[in-house]
Amino acid sequence: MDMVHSVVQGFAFVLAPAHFLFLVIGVGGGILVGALPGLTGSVGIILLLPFLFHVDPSTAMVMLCGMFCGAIYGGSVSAILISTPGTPSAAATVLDGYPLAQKGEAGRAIGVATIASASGGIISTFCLMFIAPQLAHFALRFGPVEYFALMVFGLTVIASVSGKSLIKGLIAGLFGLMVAIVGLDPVTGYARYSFDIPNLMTGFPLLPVLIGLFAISQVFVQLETVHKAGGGDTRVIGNLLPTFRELLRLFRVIVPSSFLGTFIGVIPGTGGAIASFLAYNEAKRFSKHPETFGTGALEGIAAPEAANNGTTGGAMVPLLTLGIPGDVVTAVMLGALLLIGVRPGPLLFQQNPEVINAVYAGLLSANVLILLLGFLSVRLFPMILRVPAAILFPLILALCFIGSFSLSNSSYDMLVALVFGIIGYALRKRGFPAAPVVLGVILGPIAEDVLGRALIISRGDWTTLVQSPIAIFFYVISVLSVAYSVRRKPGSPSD
Amino acid sequence: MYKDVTMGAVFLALSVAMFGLTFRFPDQTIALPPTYFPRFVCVCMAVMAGLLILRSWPRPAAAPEPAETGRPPVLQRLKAGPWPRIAAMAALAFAYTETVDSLGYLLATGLFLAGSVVVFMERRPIVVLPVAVVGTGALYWVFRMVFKVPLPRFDLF
Repeated sequence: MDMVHSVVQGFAFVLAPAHFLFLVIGVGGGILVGALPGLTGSVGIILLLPFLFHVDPSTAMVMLCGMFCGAIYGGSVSAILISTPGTPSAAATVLDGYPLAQKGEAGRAIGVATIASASGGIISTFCLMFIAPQLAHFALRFGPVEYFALMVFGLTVIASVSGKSLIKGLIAGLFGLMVAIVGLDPVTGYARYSFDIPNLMTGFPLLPVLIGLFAISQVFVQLETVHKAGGGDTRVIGNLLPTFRELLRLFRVIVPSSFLGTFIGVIPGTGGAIASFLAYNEAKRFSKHPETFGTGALEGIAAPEAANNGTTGGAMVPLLTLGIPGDVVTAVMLGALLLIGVRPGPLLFQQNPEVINAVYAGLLSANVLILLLGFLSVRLFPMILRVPAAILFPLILALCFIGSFSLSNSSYDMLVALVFGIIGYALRKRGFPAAPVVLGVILGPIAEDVLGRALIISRGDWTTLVQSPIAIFFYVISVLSVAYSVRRKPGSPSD
Repeated sequence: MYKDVTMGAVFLALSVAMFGLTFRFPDQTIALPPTYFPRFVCVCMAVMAGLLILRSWPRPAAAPEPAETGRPPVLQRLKAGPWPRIAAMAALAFAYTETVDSLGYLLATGLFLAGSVVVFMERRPIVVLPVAVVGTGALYWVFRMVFKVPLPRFDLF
């Protein structure tokens, strides 16, 4: 009954015209950044940040939910139309989406992707609504010791998002921690590495750092390929909707794929790409006609799309209840939440239930909007994909700088964004991923803070860190998580 | 290979420098001294950077062959690659961050946008000018008019 009440309250908030407009902007912007190769959901969230400061936290959350869901869905558009996944989550959609588009049925491929994405997102949101409150209630028992263990576990996600080389991922994470230790020490208040420069005393501002690492560095990356004429290959859109019989057949794939995606999303360090390939594989395995996969099978589009949008609700479970990001996008989202003054964790459910209600209703509404916007704008997608880089990226760059400026009306923040943009570009060029840097920057100070508090409570007794069964549980799964990542990739710097 | 060794050396030097600077921190003994976390991170970074250097150290057989032309290969790569565009964009962005306070938002952003479009290899005025004007105006409308952010103004106005 409480849940129904929460959702009704959430919908009352989300459907208010002003809030609904922000949701539409979030979903529409998400579809746009997801569809454009070179921009991802994490870049979309970063570009949204300057606007979030000017709205209340619940509205900001609604906008973020819209951007998150929209970007994951948007990735399928370019995957189907030009065989280039807009986001890593849409890589599996290329396998059958593009062959179907080549047959002149791009509209039907996008239609199936739209229905599957919306269904996956809605199913995973219902899972979030039932799992998150229980987990948050349990997490209320956590003290600084358990939180420190949890942050250690959160930092092990670095190993999972390290890309090809584990060593480079770990170095990137440690670099993030180094960036984070500049400024006030959380226990003593001493300004570390500030060199008596007033701007450095409070450390590097998080917003310009994130904007630089993700968005500005991406613009520099695009400069490398600008001579390679971009532009989408316009395909014949054709009919949009599958037949009723096809739809019934597809739901036998969509429903299990959505649950699979939700389950994968809950596990930190996984994400939409893994979920979509797993779902594709399972759909093929259980299909009566596996030989049609890879030639434009509708199930081959529905399964990965349901699964990757299924991860949205799943990834929100550890993010909202424990403050642990599940993948790169939720890592950036964690930074966004901290910036707008929302501290994810079990207390969020008690102290700011209106934010949680807005998330539930926002995610459900965002997925319904995906269905509407997806079908309404399907004929615009080929045009969107042909926006020249020479127009798009300068505008993004200007938005990045003005967004950085708007936080504290300081051109110093613009300079910080530029410096971290150049650093981010240099790291990308040498194969160091940006996501671990962000995890280090965000989780490092929290880990140091809770460690300090745990040691103050125990009067400096370090054994307190291993006296809690919950903490030991997190240490064990941290070790298992790292072991899994090491086993999955040999760790060679050139692999 | 050499690039990874260079990056490893950069991170190693950074960790050594940051570790050395911790000796200037005050010796406070409240539960967790301000030196503890930075030193822990620096040691971890030094170990990982050392590992990267060791794993990437080029073996004799992998030595690069000398370039066929008389020109140094690095210079060739610089000329052929995207570096001039990237350097130009970085310089333009730096100039923008340094002049926005004195030139004001409208003038500085308009010039920056026009320059950025040119760096992105679009030189037709019919594209450059509208992007600069419309982009500057749209951002001004969103940040100044909607969100009431006080954007920098030109000193003479």
